[in-house]
Amino acid sequence: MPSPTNDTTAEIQTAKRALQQAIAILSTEARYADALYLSTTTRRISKNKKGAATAA
Amino acid sequence: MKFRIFDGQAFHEHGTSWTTEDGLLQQAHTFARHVAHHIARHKPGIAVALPPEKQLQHDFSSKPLIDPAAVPLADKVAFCTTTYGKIMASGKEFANAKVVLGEFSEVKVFASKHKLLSQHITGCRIVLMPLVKTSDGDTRYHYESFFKPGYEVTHVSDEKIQQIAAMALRIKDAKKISPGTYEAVLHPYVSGVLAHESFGHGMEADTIYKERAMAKEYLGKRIASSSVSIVENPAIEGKHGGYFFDDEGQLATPTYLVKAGIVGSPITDLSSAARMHLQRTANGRCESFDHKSYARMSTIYFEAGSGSKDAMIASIKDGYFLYNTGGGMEDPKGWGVQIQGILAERIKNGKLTGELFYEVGMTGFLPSILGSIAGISKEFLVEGVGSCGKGHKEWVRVADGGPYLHVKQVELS
Repeated sequence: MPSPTNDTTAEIQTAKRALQQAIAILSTEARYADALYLSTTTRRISKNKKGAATAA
Repeated sequence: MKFRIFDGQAFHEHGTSWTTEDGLLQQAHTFARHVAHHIARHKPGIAVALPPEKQLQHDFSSKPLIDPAAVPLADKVAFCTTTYGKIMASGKEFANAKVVLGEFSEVKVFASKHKLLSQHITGCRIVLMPLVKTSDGDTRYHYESFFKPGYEVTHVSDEKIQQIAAMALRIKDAKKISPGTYEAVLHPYVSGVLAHESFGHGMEADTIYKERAMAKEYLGKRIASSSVSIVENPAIEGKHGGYFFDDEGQLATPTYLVKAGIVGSPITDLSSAARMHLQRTANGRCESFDHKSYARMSTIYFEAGSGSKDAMIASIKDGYFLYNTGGGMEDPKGWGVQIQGILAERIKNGKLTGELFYEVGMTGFLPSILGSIAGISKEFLVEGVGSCGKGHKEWVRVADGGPYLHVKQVELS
């Protein structure tokens, strides 16, 4: 198993709370339910003959 | 956010970009009502049992040496500009160069009745690509890519940059290869693509379930010598394809797709594992909140052996060293190998000759190629960055690599 770091952010704590409440709703009559929160930020910087460009 | 309900036969899924807590819970209520309505209107089908869940609560995060968020944008632009200048200054023949610095920060939280998991993954990649013009006006390029969890990826030596530039200059005069069957040594960049495109896609359980993969005929059977093992491993640290748990809450562990020459268990998502009674592996992955999860690779490689690259080259009377590739295409149904854009160098009487060949294609029947592996190096490299689709869609980040492979017979054209 990978080693847990057990450090979380406010974003993760908020998502955990919302997901647990959602699971309580979804699994009332279901055999199984799950929920996934995803958030990704990206940035790309490139340089070629025409110049430098950044994109978020 | 993505919700799923399993009704005993099938999964119902709902994706939403709603971000407020109240809004999400409203969406959960509406979704649960829709599913209940659907179940009430449909006759029960064939029941499927999901594997039992263990209680798990963990938080995971990457360990970058330099947090990319702490580096000013101006420094990142300066790195690209300086590196571009170093490449262009190393020869008048360069028509252009492309330097790319990319970074991502990914947060995922998974919850079910028994699990509550979070992961924060950071990654930085750079791509260095010098371009040259040939005497007849064609543009050719060479590139290498690097990945690390943090901004430390930019610590590339000037010597390495010069090596990449020098290879592009050599490619300027590279020839077209004469099609034929050859003995070859595959660089880890090529052996990784062979493992990923040619073998790994054929071992996706959902593809096998749909009768779209020849691997079904080989499960549990010998496909290569006992020295050959292929591992799919999301848990290998600091690689572009890595994660701590998949998008269905399965903790990352390695899976042997081939163990000592015998084809092992396929990689699975929750649905395919349940339907085919297979062991669940940490490969249930989705492109985004509005895409379903499929059985997908992460980081795949041949396991290292005991040989050496130099000894492999020395043992070949007439053949090719295959350096790098532009990529490949999967063919799970026919298990045909299709790897394109290979840079090859002629080997003659045990020595590299300096004679280069550009845009070489590698083809053949995968079991024949795996069966003709005669040597595996102890040198091992998983370096690059990749993006993998299932067919033409469902993109996820991946990595591949491994050792150098000595292959007795491969079709090059």
